[in-house]
Amino acid sequence: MKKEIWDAVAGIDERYILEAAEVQRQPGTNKSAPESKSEKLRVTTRRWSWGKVAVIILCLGFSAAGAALLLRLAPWSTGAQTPGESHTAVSSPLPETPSGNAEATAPAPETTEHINSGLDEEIQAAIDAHENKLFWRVAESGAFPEKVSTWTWTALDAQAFWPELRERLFGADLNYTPGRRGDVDICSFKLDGEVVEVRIFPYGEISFFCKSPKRAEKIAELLTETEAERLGLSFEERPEDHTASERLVRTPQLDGLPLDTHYRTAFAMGHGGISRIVTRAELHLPMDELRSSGSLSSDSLLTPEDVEETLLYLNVLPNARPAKSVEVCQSCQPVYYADLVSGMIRPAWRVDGIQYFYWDNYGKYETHRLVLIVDAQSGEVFTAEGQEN
Amino acid sequence: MYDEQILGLFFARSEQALQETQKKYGSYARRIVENILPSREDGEECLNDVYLTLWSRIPPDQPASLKAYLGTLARNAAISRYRAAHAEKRGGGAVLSLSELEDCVGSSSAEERLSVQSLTELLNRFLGGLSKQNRIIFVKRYWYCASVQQIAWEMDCSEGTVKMSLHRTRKKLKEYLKKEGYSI
Repeated sequence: MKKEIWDAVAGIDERYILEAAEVQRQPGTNKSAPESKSEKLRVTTRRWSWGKVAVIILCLGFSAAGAALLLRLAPWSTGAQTPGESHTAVSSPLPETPSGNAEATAPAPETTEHINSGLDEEIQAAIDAHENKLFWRVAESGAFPEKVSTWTWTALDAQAFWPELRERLFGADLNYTPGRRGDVDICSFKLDGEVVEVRIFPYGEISFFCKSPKRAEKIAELLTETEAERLGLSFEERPEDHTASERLVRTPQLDGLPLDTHYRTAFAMGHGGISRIVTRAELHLPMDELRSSGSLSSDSLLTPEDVEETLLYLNVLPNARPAKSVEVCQSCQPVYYADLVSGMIRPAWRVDGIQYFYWDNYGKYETHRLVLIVDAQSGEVFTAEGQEN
Repeated sequence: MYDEQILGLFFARSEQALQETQKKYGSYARRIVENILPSREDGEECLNDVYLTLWSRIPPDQPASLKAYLGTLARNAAISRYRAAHAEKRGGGAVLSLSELEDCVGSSSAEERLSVQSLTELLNRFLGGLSKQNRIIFVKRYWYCASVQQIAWEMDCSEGTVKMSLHRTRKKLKEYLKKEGYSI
């Protein structure tokens, strides 16, 4: 048994696995699905008979030309098709997953494929024509509360926060190198002989990395005690039923809207993720550390239609690489987002979608996921993140 | 629901994550398992194991593609279960399809063999050079362990076309591995 090839096949690249999964039978064909074993048997038997006939004919010494002619007329040869014919229809390239790590699985640029009925004809026509268009396919979008606030995040000043935490939790045994605002502050300390790494992210998340679940529990206890005193830290524990990882997290909300830290969080995950097993304790700074600096009424906020106009005006992406692209926006949700430059936390629209853009004039395009954060008051685009799909 | 939202539920340890995964990719995982495990009962148990594994691995894992990740878990679980149940027997879909490939690697000595990792890299490079249709047929047959008949139906072509494609691809793979220094 050559087990190596089995294991090698198990390691086939994800993009090929997904490519094969996406091939579906085109609608409208009459052939039924091969379900029953009796049907399979019948087909096999018939074809064996034809095979025998062919062998006999060949054995009887028919000329090569005659045999070739017969073989061409035989029923099994009629189904042969040239690779790449239309039956290799690929389902919609609309992404099923906005994966968190672009370089991990980003496939090579695809040449233009026929897109199935998942996209309507108008979008398909725009893609085929290499037009530069924006489409909205937003089924429903959330609404902002009547009044929303803008906030400053004073706790972002890690230097003011960290010494207090250090003294209360870890004593003097702390190797701390503060980073600049907007950077990740990294430090480490020893707990029961094990080095625990601490990362403070500019949007207020603190992650503790350690290898032992027991250490994580101890850190959680220490943080709980600290919370009971006066730092005001809080988090909720969601224990897991496995030993590989433990995650303690408190997801922040403001005015009932989520604080959009997804991509920052994904970034944080990337450091601990698959390459090394970590036990994770996450902590978000408490909302009472935030100070409101003013409120806005819903009248002063953009509507989804305004966002659409903004994106049209911006020609969708400020950093779009090619000249022509078709964008399909699929959702538009209100969030709070941390503007790391100003240190403000402001209401914003998060727009999710897909972008088809063209590299050249030869029919090739790539698809990217779009995540746009648009300031809900000014229409300014906070951030635009694309990801190869 | 987008995969990122489902992953968010996993990271928040919400059981809704599993419901949403089943809703979106349940039939996909089931198809993979059923290709390998003919018994419906075994398949159900295997799928339960797959979702349990998924729940325990995310986090800390953060798969770039939830679909591919789930598919890999389903395939590995089904093959493990199949091997355990058929340790002494041969035959069956998965073993049959994979045994077709064994001739490509031959019986080399331990020193001559490439590591599995190197072989995987070679295989992926080889697949990258195939036409799309041949690659899809190859992956469907040997990764998804689908029957020739099933592949022919999905690709809307004859079984002969599929068999010929597989035969030629195996032959090319054998030559490719030989050229790359893998002793045949």
